Amino acid sequence: MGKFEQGWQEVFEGTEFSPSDSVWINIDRDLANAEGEKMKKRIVLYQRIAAASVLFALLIGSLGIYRWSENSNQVAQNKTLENTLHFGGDEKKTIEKKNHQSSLALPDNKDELSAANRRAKSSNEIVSLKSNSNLNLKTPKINFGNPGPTKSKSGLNEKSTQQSLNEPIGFVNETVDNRKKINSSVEKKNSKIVFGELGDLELLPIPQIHEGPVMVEIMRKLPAIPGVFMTHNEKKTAHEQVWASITAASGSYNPNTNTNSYNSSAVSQLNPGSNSSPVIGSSYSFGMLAGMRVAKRVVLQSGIQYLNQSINSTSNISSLNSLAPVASSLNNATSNYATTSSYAISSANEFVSVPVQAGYLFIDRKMGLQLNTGVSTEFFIRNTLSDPSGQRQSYSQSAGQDSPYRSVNFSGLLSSEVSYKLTNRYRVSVVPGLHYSFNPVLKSASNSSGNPVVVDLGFRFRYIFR
Amino acid sequence: MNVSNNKMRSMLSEKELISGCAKGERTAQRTLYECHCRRLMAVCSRYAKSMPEAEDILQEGFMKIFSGLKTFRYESKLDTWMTRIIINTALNHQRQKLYLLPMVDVEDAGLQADEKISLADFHLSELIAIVQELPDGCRVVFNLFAIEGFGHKEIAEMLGISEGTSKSQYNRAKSLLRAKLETVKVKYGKV
Repeated sequence: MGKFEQGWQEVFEGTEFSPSDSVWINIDRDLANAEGEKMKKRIVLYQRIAAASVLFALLIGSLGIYRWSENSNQVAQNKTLENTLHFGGDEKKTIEKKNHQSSLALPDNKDELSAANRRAKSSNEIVSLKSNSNLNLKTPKINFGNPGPTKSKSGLNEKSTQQSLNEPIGFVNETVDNRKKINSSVEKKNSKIVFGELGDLELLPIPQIHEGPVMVEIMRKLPAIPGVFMTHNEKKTAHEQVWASITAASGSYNPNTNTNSYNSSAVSQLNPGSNSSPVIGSSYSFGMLAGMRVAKRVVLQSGIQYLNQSINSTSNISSLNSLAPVASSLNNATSNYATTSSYAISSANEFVSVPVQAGYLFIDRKMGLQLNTGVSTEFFIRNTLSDPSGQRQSYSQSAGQDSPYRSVNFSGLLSSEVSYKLTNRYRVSVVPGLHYSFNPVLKSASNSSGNPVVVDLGFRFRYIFR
Repeated sequence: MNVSNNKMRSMLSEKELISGCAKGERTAQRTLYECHCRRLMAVCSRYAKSMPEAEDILQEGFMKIFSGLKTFRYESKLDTWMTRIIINTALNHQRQKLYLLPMVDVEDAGLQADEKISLADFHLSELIAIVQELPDGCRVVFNLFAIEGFGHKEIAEMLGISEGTSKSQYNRAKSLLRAKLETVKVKYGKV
């Protein structure tokens, strides 16, 4: 290295210049931006992990509900079979179970009345008794002895309605044509009210004791959505206009009838069920939907779906190899068929459903909340009766003039859709819903008996066209 | 012993400083900036055409230093490592112009080796200004060869030019500097 270079090196060695203050200010700003970008990426990653976890948990939960409902059917069916085997044959035979029978004579004085009430409350026998399937008790009759409210000063008159409200009540048997009966009687003369014998009903879970659908008011409190999940973009979020989605759902199916098994003495309510109480079946569906936005917060959706509703039941119609006689009993309810000991059967109804729904968008961002309501037209495909034990051949009935099943059914739909937008093109949703049929599936069943209800949990994967 | 202790203490504090900067602690980053900004600003001013451009290079260079500290392995001294980053940042600024460097024959430069030049007569700011007036390619090659001590072969690899071009550019820089120094000398009566 020459002197020229050495000279210049000596000049610049150790030299320093002070930069302006703006240099550090700019560096500080750039560092803060870089940290913010990193945090944003981390939050997006956590969001995606959380969404995937929720979907996975709901999928597992839905499968669990499906399995549980199947198991419940099996348990109830087993109990039915046990009881049928134990008590079958003698119509007059009284079912005697431990701690089931209690009867009280109405007290004649105030003290005894109080004591009677206390006993009643402690024994928890004040229930609405659901008659078993073989009783012709569509409407329980409450006989207080002397009808008509009369009040007495002492308040001890057992004939008064006022008193009866505070006292345990019993049901009156009008028809005795059964294997099990509720042993209750009311002596008109003395207005003695006794407790009915609850029989098997005490052993059943509490929801099954109630007659008819139990309306439960569900107070939905939406969780607060943290601000971090709300993407506050300076630029306008593009609203989805047209999309298509694939959907799948599973849940419980309640035929909502006074249940009957496939009996030779079956009554008009022919939807399958246990002999003693309504049984909850299971339901699943899958299909495709297309949707479009018609207003700022209103969307329309329609599509086509396959719907399967199955339930377990019992039958006592003798059938050697095939379940055809059982199926034909639905057409000829009054005909006599050879009977045998009860055996389990499974009934599955299949439909093609065309839903049409309108939705209102409460939240229309990366996270979405939509309330859907609509109707669906269900075209009956077939009903398949099968023997879980495999001893008898399955039998299918399709729709038609001679079929006991309605060809077309209409149902009301109500669901909420909680969604998350994965990318500009894809959105996933969880859809808890309610599906209420306006008619029973059987032609011969009357509307007053109750209509099938499906409560399910669905998943949707949406592709956004524009 | 005291010197080695001070050195050890300064090494420890430097390690703590690096560790703090790697974690993103603003205080540590500010301290590192304050310790080295003036020295590195001088380096930037030699490579840039103007002081604002030098500050841009310094700002960009420090962002790269802070992000690179996470992977700093103490394979070289921190000062050397930081200076290298600043030089690379300055070269990136000039890289697009460097491919336009014209080929100049060495003979045409007309220079004499080892010519005595007295730079003590000139103020530092004047010398910086003279260097900044050089054409971009000449300025970069001059800084890399004369000040940083790189060989022409290394410079050619760094800039993606031939060794001959590097030599030519340096010779041109020398002649231009000499001429400018003569002019300033005469102008301000520094004879």
